[in-house]
Amino acid sequence: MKTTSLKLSALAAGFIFAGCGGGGSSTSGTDTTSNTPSNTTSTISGTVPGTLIEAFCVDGSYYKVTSTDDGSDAHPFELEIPSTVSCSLVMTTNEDDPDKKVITQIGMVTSDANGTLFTASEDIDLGYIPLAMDPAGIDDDGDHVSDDILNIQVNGTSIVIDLDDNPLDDDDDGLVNVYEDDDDDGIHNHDDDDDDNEDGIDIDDDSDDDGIDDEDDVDDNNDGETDTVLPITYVADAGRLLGSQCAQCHGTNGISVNEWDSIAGESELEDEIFEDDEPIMMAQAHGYTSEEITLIGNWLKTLNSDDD
Amino acid sequence: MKTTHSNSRRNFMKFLGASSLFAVAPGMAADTSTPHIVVVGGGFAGATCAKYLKMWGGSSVNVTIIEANSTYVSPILSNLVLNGQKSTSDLSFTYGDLSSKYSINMIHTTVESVNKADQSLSLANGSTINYDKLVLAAGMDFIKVNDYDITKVTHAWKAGEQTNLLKAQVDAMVDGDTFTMTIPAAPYRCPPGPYERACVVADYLKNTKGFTNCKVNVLDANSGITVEADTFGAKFTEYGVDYKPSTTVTAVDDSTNTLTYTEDSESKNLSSTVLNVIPNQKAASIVFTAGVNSGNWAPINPLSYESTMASGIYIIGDSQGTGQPKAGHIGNSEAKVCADAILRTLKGIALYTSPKTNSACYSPTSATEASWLSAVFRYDTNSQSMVAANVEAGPSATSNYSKMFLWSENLFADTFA
Repeated sequence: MKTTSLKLSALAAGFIFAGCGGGGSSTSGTDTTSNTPSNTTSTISGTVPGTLIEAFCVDGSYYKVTSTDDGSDAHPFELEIPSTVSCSLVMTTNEDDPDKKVITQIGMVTSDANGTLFTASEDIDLGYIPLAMDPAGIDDDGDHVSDDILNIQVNGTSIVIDLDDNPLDDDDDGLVNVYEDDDDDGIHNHDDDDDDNEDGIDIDDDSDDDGIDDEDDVDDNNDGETDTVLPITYVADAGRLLGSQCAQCHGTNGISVNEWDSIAGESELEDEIFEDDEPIMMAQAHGYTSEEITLIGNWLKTLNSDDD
Repeated sequence: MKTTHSNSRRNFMKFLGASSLFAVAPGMAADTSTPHIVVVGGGFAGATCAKYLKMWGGSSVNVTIIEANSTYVSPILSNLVLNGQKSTSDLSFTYGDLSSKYSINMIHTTVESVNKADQSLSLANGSTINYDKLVLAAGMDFIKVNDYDITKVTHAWKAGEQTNLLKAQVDAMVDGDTFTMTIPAAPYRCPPGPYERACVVADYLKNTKGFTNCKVNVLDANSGITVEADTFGAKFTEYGVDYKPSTTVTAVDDSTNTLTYTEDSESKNLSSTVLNVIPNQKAASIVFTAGVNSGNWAPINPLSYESTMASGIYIIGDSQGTGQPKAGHIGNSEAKVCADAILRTLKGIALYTSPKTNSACYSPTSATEASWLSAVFRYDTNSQSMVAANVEAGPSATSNYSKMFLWSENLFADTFA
């Protein structure tokens, strides 16, 4: 099957070329937004039942478009994404209906590989994509995210599957983090005002409202400039760095593999290490300042103790 | 276009895993956005660094280990192979957990050249691999005084086949035979290790074999026992070890098992039933290949272990040139500081300015006793170097013997599991 795109003229009348005039209302037809203008783009097109189409790209950029209601059952869409950056597609039907909304992670199947992270080096027409219109039966956990990935077979070479770890998919299950339900409260992270169930609300977690938490967003001020093209998740922690030096004797993250003490969850570190009946522990303890021991102790308290 | 709904996400993950088997090819690992960190060497330093890079950096970094061997034999505890308390298989580790639990790519080959301008490595398997950051954790190399057959005159200072060769030689000894070992000039890998070996072998010959007429000679290039001098000195006296400090090996003859050495400016010869020469040491050859050595070792910034001679190249473990000892426990320790520093650098945040490293080790002195040595190192801002914050030693005692295995099990697991 050919994989070149349909020309604009082949699409239904009224379709406006993606990328122009974005930033307005997102409730109707042809609005397209993107964070990061890219010099080289490919156009992903196809037809769907009536859908919000989103692309999450590993450089932190985000693109979305809603399909055009042309009165048929197969609404056309076009979405421009970078042609040299790996992206992942998610499609949402009934996006304005909280009861019927279905979010579907798209997978790409090529002759070489399959996966949800891909680079589209050229324009590609995906044809009709038979998205579910009702979550019943495909959404066991009730978060309106389909439990299945919808795989689309793509012939030709426009799509190259990226088999590297997807930074947008920490658990490697194919579904982008945004639509995981990290705190298992039945509300996926994108719609969840408190996706870690810790701080009450995550209002600042996505400061540019592009659906990518700042922690995962390399352009979190939405200025179009990629902030850094480097790790998008690293939170330095002095207590963890210092405390990792306990692991040689007490196990990784404080979980010992034998009868020596596990120290994960230790709440009285200072008392323990200076009153320990092992002289080698005291010999180590004397090499640390009280400030360092406090930092280590605070970190250890955050760790779950699997055994005692 | 055909579409399928068949794969649940769990199945999909498996499918993806299978297809990545052939996709994790050198050169493919780096993409435009995910930094690729290549670690050369899968010992205590390298394996730990790779594990912690992935444990802390998650999917925001790709990590590859290039290691010649698919099995690593720990030098730690390997003196206990000589007296039959352990076997080399007890001390062997594979890289399955690092691949499966931490998604670390393993490539079992060696590095031929380092192209710093391209940030790439040419590998002995013919491929090229690109890196954003390069960690050299390849241990150390020997400086032999002359060419000789190390299957006859062993070093047994890199564990595995060498350890078993030396064990076989010791086991072949009969009462009245002589065991002679030489200790290299500091700095060398595992400061207490040679003294530990002399004790273990002397105890084995005397107390396990019951040989009353065997002689154990120790020729030390240093002016005295370098660590735990009281402990090892007392044991040498107990076992009747003939300890000669300030001796320099000048020649090794593998056909006659004869050493030539200098003592008090005088050249002497010594023949021995078993000759175990631990040569002087220098950084691993990859450090020289990469051009990041100054003399025999690699100068680094102790806040990150980044070379002071080339940016983006980090040296940890035995090859690094700080004053810290060269050993597995502290190699693991340095690796964590290095992993954190690399992730901070990639993230664009400042290095931690007060890193701590530590060393702790139990040394067997017989088949039933062990001593211990503990050291903590801190960063000294004036000298910009790591200096000792506290060093203490514990005497040889039977109560330490079982603790030695509790220590090593957690160290092994923190590194390889």
